[in-house]
Amino acid sequence: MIRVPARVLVYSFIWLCLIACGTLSLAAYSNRAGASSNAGPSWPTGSLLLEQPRDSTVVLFLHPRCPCSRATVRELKGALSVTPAPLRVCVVVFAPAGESEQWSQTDLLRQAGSLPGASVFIDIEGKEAERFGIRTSGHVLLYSPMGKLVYSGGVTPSRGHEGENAGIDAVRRFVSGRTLPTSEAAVFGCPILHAEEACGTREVVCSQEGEPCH
Amino acid sequence: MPLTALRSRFAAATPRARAIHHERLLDLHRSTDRMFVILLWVQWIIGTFATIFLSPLTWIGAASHPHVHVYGAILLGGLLTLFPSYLALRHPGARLTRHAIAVAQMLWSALLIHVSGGRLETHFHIFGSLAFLAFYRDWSVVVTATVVVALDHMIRGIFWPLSVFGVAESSNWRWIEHAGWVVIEDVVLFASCFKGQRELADSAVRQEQLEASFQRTEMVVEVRTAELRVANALANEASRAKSDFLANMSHEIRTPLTAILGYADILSDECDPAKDGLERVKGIDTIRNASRHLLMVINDILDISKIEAGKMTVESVESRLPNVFIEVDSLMRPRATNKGVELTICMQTPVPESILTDPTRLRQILMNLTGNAVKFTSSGAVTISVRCESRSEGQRLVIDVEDTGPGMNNEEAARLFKPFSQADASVTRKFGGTGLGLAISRKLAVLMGGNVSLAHSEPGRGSCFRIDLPLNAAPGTTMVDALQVVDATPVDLLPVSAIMLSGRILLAEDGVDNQRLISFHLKRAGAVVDIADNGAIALAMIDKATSDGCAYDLLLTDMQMPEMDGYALARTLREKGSRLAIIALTAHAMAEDEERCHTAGCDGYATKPIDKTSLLRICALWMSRPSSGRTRKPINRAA
Repeated sequence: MIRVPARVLVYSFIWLCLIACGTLSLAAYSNRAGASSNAGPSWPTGSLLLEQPRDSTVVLFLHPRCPCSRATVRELKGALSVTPAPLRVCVVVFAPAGESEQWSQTDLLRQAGSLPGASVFIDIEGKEAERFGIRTSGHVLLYSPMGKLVYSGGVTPSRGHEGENAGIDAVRRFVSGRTLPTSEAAVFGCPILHAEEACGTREVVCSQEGEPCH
Repeated sequence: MPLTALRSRFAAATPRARAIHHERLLDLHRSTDRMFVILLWVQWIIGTFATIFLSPLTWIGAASHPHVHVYGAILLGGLLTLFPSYLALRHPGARLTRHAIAVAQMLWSALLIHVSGGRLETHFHIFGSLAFLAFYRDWSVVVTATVVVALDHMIRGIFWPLSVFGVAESSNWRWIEHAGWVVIEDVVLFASCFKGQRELADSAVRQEQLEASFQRTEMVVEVRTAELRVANALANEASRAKSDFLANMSHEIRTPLTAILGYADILSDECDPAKDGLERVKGIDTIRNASRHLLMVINDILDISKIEAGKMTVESVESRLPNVFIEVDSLMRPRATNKGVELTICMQTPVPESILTDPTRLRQILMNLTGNAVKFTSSGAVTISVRCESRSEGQRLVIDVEDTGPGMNNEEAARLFKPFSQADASVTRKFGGTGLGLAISRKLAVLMGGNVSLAHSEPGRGSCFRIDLPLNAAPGTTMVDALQVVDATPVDLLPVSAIMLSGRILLAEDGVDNQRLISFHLKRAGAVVDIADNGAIALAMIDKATSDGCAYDLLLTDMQMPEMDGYALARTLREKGSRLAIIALTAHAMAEDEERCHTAGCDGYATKPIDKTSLLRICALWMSRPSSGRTRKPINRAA
């Protein structure tokens, strides 16, 4: 049997500790939820997306370059593909002021635009998100035909991870007209706005792509 | 119980088998370590690039930073790769190394799953890695890997259940179910590990048995070799004894034969049938013939002994090929003419005038075959045909000796070249001979790079024997197509009666009979002969003759003499710078004797019993050469 010097055992211990720290840090980061929302109980007044929803409505807020939100779009694609009831899907995509249109024309945006019944809105400076009180990419809001907020939160179990979770379960139940077990869940994604920006008030310019929600 | 079975398998094994097993396991562990080093680096490189491709940046509004996954892939991946690589390079085969590799490999699975967004496909990395780790044939490595997976699931299950179970709250024991699926694979891998270990153990035992068998065989070979060495030494000793016996017998028989044959020759030369009577002449002829036959038998036995002892050597000197045939013709023609047999030598193709060969042996072979042909042919002809042939192996000299004798059937032909055998017993009774001639001829031809064979034979029609030798033409030689164009050496071709010696010869010989006989022949040929009884006297006489201004032209010395023998005499003369021609006379006829004479400083060599013709020819040859032109090689021999 080959024996190794005692110092190598010490190195091994240090190595294990460093790995543990690294792994735990990575796991902690992945499972650290984004900032919670200040969404009101009903459709916000002055929203440029719709005056007032008349059908069941799903609103998805996205940062077009957030890698974590790809899992969100994939999860929603699966859940919305079996929609039996009339459903309106609004995808609100953040775009900074002063950037060209190309900035937000990402693969994520194209995938989101292909969601069943989706209308994509470019939200310059995130003013519509601010109006809804949303600060994290991947946030999903579910409104009843009466305009009442029934769910607010994410649809992934952690950052960028697909898999069974309470949020996507809520969406599936919502589109199939069943009772939701929960009304909120953590959101995992990139911040759409800085905290200080989220507190300010700005004019929201809403442009649209695809089928308008109006 | 695989472990128990393995232990019991090795309980009966020898320490060597255990050492072999340990060595092989170590080799296996080291090679697997190296394999994982490569794998870890590949994972690190691919993982880093994949992460940069999938999630290069994280965003806060319009601002971006490198994604935490990128840092994770580079830094954590580096940690997972570098330390196990260090262990594999510095401590290959160590238990710690393979367990560290197991930990790293399983955490690489976790990292790859993490940075790929939990893709289901990347979970197969876990199961693949476990299978790779089974290459170590060490179940404990698989256990370590499984514990890492279980711990990972347990910690995540407790703190971040959503990341592994997809629900915010989960049973704290649900990680056991996940670990259980891994354990299922472990069971198969454990079986594989134990099977592999068992095969390694069996292989080690087999190797040990093989080595033991090899050692036993080597020991037997050593013993046998030692026995063979002893047997070989005994055989060599016996061979030496035989050679000594033959040499002594040769000396003891040839010495009196010299006198018998010599004096018979003298009596025959001086005999007058009219005056001495026919019965006396017949009696003298009978003595001569019987002596010559006895000499021939001795020569044949000595030749075959030398050949079989591997002591027969052949030389390759420039020789005039036609001369060989002329000599054979001159020696054989009288015998053939006496029997009424026509002897013809014809050249079918032009042949080189000079070739590189051993003329003595070629002549011996040719004499043998021609002698046989003449002997067995009662009427008709003996034809010697010579030709050159070009073959793939090069130029060949082919000589056919064809007769119109009784011929042979296949059975008789099959016995021809076996020593001491003739076509049938009646041949020996009718024609005499030792039955060694053809065997000697073939063996001599083989030594010269050729062969002697029976080309064809038919009962009642005759036989044809073929000599096939490599033909090496002397540089610058011309081609001849008839025997008469050859410029023969005068001395070689002169009849013995025409050989005249002019000069002073000193004969060193202790035997009175031989003194009288040899000096008789030399004096009769015209030489002035002085006699010394031994080497010391001869040396003194040479010195005196030189100082008196009447130096000798030739020294003819017996090699075995009292006080100072011929070897010492020749050596002393050469050491003193003498260039006197020295001809050795010896009754020893073995090859080493000839070499020994040459080494001592002799120029020529003549064997007893003395053949008058050969003796006079070699004496004439050396006396005709100026002493300054003498060369020491090759030694001239009077056969």
